[in-house]
Amino acid sequence: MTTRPLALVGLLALSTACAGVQPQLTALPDQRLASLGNLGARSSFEIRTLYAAPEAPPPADAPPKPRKRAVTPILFTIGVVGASLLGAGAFSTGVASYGLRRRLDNSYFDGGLSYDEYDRINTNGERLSDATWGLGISAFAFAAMALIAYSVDWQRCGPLAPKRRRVAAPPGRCEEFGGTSGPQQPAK
Amino acid sequence: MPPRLLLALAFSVGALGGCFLSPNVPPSFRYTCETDDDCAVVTCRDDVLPIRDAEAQGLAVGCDTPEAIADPTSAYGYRQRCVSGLCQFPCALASYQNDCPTGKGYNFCFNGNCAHLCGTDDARYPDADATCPDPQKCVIFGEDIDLGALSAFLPSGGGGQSGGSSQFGGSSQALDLNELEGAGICGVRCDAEGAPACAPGEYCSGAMCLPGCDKPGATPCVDGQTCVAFGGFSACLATCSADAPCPEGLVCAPGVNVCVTTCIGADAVPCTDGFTCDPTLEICVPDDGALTTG
Repeated sequence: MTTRPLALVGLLALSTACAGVQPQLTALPDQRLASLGNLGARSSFEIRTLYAAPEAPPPADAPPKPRKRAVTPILFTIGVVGASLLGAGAFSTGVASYGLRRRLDNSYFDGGLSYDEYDRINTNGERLSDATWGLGISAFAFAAMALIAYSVDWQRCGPLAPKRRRVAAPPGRCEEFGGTSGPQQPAK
Repeated sequence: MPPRLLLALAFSVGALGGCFLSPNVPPSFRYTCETDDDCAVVTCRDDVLPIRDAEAQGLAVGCDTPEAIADPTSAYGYRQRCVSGLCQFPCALASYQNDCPTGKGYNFCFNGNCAHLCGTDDARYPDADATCPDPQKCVIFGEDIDLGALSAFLPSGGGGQSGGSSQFGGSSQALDLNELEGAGICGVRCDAEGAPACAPGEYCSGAMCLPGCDKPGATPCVDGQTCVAFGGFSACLATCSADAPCPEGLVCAPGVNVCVTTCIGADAVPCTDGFTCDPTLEICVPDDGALTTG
């Protein structure tokens, strides 16, 4: 009975101990090269930068890979133009609406207003007010779209991003649109 | 201009212009008109409706009918008329509280039209006339309007003045003249050029029309009425005869043949100071007996 636990402990010890045993290095072709270590193993630096390393250049006879066309400049342009036009429209209708309000205020005791005139000015003013709100909100939406497009482009170092962004971007960020990462050599 | 300042300016202008809320119409403002059709009525639901639309919809007059109570939009209680180029609600000095729309801030009946006070805030509005729609002016109590003459047509306790009461008026408003002194009322003076004539039975006392059909220059009574003067007052009263009896609640005063309130019976109206109930005539007669017709 006492030999069985001892056998189990021994088996466990052997199994766990064997898990930590490194396999035997393959024999070097020449004992004089033993000091060079294992040339097939990757260092930790290589492992960390494995996916960040630039791809190997394609063969010379291979067809050129089509460059990915950025959508963000188009969205940015649409956003800026839309926000400008709609914002100008909102400003104009707002000024016109305010002018009608002032006209009402000035007409009460100077010139007078008939029911029809009052209703007409009031209706036009409310329409202009509604238009101001609608155009303003639309302009805001377009401006937000332009801002988002620019932000995405800046993040990806797209065409809208400034040059210094491409220089200071993390490695691998700015190659998609033809940019380069990392410190650049100053132009000579 | 800095972008932030530009942005703030854009939002400010947008907020100012975009918020075209229905402006608050000043209470003393009156819409201009050329005919009565340009004016409006106030329905029993307190909506303002153009007269053209009210007539097109066939709205009835009066808010006390069962139909109007059931459907307040089917009738109107007040109707404007075009006076001096402005839409105004007609009224009588003695009954303006019933003649003028309630809840609209009307303070007085001036020259036959419901009117608002003016000149109560000289600090903010130094030019009181500017707060009245043209051609109305701010007619000042105590300066343009003789409070002593006016108080005679107001109920006793009218505030500091020589209170009196009209035998004919039956006025029930309690107007404190002390509060009116220094303030004014928006209206067209009756002595102004082109001003409309005073109502029948009234005369122009300078700026304001006052009851008094026996005064020089008074507007004559309408057909079917007779000017009766006694006790320092005069008024147009409906004529009566054996063929034309008085309405219910009134009796035909013998001799003068006008309808007056009775002081005896279920519809009796107590006599005021200076009058005594004559049991034979069943009407209040002046103590001095001075009763004339004109």
